[in-house]
Amino acid sequence: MMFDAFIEGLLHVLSWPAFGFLLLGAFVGFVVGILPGLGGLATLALMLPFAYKIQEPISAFAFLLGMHAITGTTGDLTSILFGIPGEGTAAATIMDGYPMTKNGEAGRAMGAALMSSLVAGLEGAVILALAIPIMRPLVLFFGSPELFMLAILGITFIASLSGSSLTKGLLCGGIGLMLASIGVDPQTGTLRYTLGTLYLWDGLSLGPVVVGLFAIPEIIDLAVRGTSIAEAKVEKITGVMEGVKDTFRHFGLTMRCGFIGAFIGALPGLGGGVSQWLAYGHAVQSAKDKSGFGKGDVRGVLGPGAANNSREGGNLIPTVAFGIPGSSAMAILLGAFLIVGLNPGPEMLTKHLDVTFAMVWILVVANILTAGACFLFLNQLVKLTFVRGHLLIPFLLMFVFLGAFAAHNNFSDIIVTVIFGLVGYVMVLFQWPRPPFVLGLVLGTIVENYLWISSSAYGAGWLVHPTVVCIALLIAGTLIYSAIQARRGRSLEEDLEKRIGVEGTRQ
Amino acid sequence: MTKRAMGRTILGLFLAGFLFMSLAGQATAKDFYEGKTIRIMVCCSPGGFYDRWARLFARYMGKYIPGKPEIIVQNMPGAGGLIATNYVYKVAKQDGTAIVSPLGGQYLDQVSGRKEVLFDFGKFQWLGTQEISHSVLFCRKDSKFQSVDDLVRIKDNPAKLGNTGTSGSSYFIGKVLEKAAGANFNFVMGYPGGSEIDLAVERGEVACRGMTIPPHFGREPYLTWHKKKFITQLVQTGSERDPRMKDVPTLTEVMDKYNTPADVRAIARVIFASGDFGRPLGVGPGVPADRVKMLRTAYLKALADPGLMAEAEKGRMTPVIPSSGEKVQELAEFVSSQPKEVVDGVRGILGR
Amino acid sequence: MRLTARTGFSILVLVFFCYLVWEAQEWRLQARLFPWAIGIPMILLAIFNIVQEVRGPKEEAGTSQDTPTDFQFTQPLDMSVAVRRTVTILSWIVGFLAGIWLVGFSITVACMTFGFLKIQSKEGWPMSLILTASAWLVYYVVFERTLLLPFPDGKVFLWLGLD
Repeated sequence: MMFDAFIEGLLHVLSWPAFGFLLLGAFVGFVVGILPGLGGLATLALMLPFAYKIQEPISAFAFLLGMHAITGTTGDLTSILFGIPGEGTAAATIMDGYPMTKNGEAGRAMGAALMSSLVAGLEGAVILALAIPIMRPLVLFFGSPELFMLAILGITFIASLSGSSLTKGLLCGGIGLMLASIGVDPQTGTLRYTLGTLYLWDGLSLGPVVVGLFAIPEIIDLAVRGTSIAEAKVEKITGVMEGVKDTFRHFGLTMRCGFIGAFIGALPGLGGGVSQWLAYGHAVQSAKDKSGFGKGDVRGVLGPGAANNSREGGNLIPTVAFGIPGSSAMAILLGAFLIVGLNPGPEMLTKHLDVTFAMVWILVVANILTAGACFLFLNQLVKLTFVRGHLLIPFLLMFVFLGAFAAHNNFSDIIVTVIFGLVGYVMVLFQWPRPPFVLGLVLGTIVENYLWISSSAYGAGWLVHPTVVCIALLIAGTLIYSAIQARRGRSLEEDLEKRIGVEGTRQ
Repeated sequence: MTKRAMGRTILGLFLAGFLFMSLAGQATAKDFYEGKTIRIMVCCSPGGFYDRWARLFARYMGKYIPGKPEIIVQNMPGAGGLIATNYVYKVAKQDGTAIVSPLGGQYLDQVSGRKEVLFDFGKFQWLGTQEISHSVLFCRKDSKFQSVDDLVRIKDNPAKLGNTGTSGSSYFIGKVLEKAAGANFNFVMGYPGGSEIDLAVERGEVACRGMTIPPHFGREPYLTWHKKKFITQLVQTGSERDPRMKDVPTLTEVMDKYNTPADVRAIARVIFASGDFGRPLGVGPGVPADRVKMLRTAYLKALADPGLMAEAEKGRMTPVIPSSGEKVQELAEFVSSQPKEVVDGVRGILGR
Repeated sequence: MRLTARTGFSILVLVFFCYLVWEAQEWRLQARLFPWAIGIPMILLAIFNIVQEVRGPKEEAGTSQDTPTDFQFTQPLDMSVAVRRTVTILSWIVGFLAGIWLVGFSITVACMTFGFLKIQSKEGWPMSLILTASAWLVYYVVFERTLLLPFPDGKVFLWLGLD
């Protein structure tokens, strides 16, 4: 029965007109997604009305889901090429992808992003398929105390993302956590730090903050340098293949980050920004030599690239099993479910199992299509990074502003983008790390809310829940592990320095 | 002409061209709506009930308006609907090309004296509402809380009620029941959204939740919950019992039983009027009366369109219990002109 | 000079935390708890950071040992050129924002793109015009016509009563 549905799902996807809609969705997703500053969420929201016109469930999903799967990947590409994230949830790829581009390794970075996306996209689909029989207990297992502990785990990554100055890293994390409390406080209805504006009632929205924080400083830098984005002309066609090979060189990391993405994606209530940054934090934390991160370490591209795509598979788990969206993008898809007359929920695991599997297949096919299409265009895209910066800047600015506006149709988002652009500029200038700031901003609300929920729903009892204790041990373990590793790394470095000192040369 | 001056001239021409283009759409037509675009500004993000209703109307209302204007939907989410509502009242042109779809309970921001509110709910010109959406309070069947009496009786370890914040239906029902009948709750606050509360109910983290009735019978997980008898409905806020919940008492019945004083009843009446508003559509206060009339007529005709009904049914947005623009208008004027005692009472309950 | 600007920012961070903690004092306990639990330790940490910076050894900026996990700006050849260029691009960015606010998206996109290409990048007329036209067309076709975004009208038109 299950196997039949599995095959039937594939046939659905490959049948006409569904496949045509998949191609159409992929095309739209590619074109819009490649515009810097415009992400999957905005695209999905903007394209939802077209689902009304399609009506047939599988075709509608082929269109929307295919498009959505692709924007995840193309968002990574704009991050790498221009340092401008497609949306707030896809910014972690910038951290190492954009420096690689500056070093003339755009091809390699994109190859790595594409391949890790493909691998993890498939991994996410497999996880989704495997999870179908155990979806409900899996999601129910994670209550508010567990979500709180996972957020704490994420916060400990601040330490390893701080780099040289732990003090500054912690301060940046603190700024992020504080800014996360902006808005209407859910406990009392108090308006916190809203500065008398309506806009801030809902808190700072992640997209404009992150786009400003990362894109504007890079645009400034590009203007100051007065050159093209890529400084070194070492790019060869083989660069792309090098990135593909990187994925398999660090296959364990790619798979682990893919798992993180799918796992976090399956837990409703953690929000889209979390998984990619956790994956990036994991990539940094698990590396022996951390010094290259932020300056163009390919592992910093593989991690977030992977998490970004496997997340979609994970997000579908609660959406299908409970009719409860796993992310804001899924909330929009849920609307599409209803528009085409499907009722997501337990029926999706019985009566409509073929549709569920069709969705798995859409993810698979869309990921393969994207990778294929992107590989065809990569070399054209790489050329953009050699165009004079002065020709690109007005376009980049336009897209940054349009993207900031398009997410919520709100002019204030543009102001926030510029303000945080200036903040980001000063932070880079004085060497305050930005990743801990984003991590704090992403996790702050989660930590605060789930702490309140846990203590009012369970009293102090939640502290001794077995899963809570397990995650606490995991946190302690990773902290100790990375401390030991840092010490080992340092002694290794000293060792090396001594040797270099003796031999007097690097070669 | 120097090269520089030429540059300036061309730049000037360029500018003039753009100015012209942006002003070109202003020419007056014999029939006002002919060739015009009407925008429905929605309070909320795409995909939800507000959005889907607006989009349904966008596709069916245009043909009933003289001049057959194009109707598009634009989402302007934020600040619990205040951004869109303020926009249509204050910023948008008052020529009948901007329709607002605010939250049903939007007026509560006004009543409770939020200084950010720029509108008078009673001065909007309402086109009507396609459904009433009262609220219902439910608890898990396997919990101790199977009636309002249980909520009143059990003081130790009272019912855990899941909430997003202090402005959701769950919170309103809880607070009003506390005041009107002496019910006891443990308010668990801070869930990111209704879906997360549902998961918490399923998980047993909280026992109860309050929500609006249309989705309660319109989608998962509730459909399964009803089928498996997983939850019990304790009270509903409409003035009459919903046909799908014949044996669930209304709030009025509960208040009768507990001899709730008149002042508390008045407060409850204002708070739960949001259910009678449902998901209304309206235009700003300055829109000429003849256009409002056109829009009201078109609104009712669209609602009677079998195509719209079929689609609403398919999207599980039924049953449709419409009220005309005039009726909504009356209600809006009623809630915006409350005496001070009631306003203070509402503020007290909303914690503002 | 650089050292003072650097410390200035650290002081700004301290002021930021102090302000947020101060602002929270009148809120109810539940609203105040989180900002204080984070903010008060952060004030101490910020003070520690300033002390460390003022007393610390004259650090050599830019050595590989002392960089955060983040990008570094390219070290400019000439400081005064870099400062001038930074100020210029900042004014363009802020000007873009002001333009959108004053005259709306559609005019700003055209004028800013053209202005930047012609004045800042000193491109020729054909290049500037072609690129401006294509930028504006992308904006118009994709965002205005296809996605139907509700772009706000410029304030100037409101003031002039043209709206």
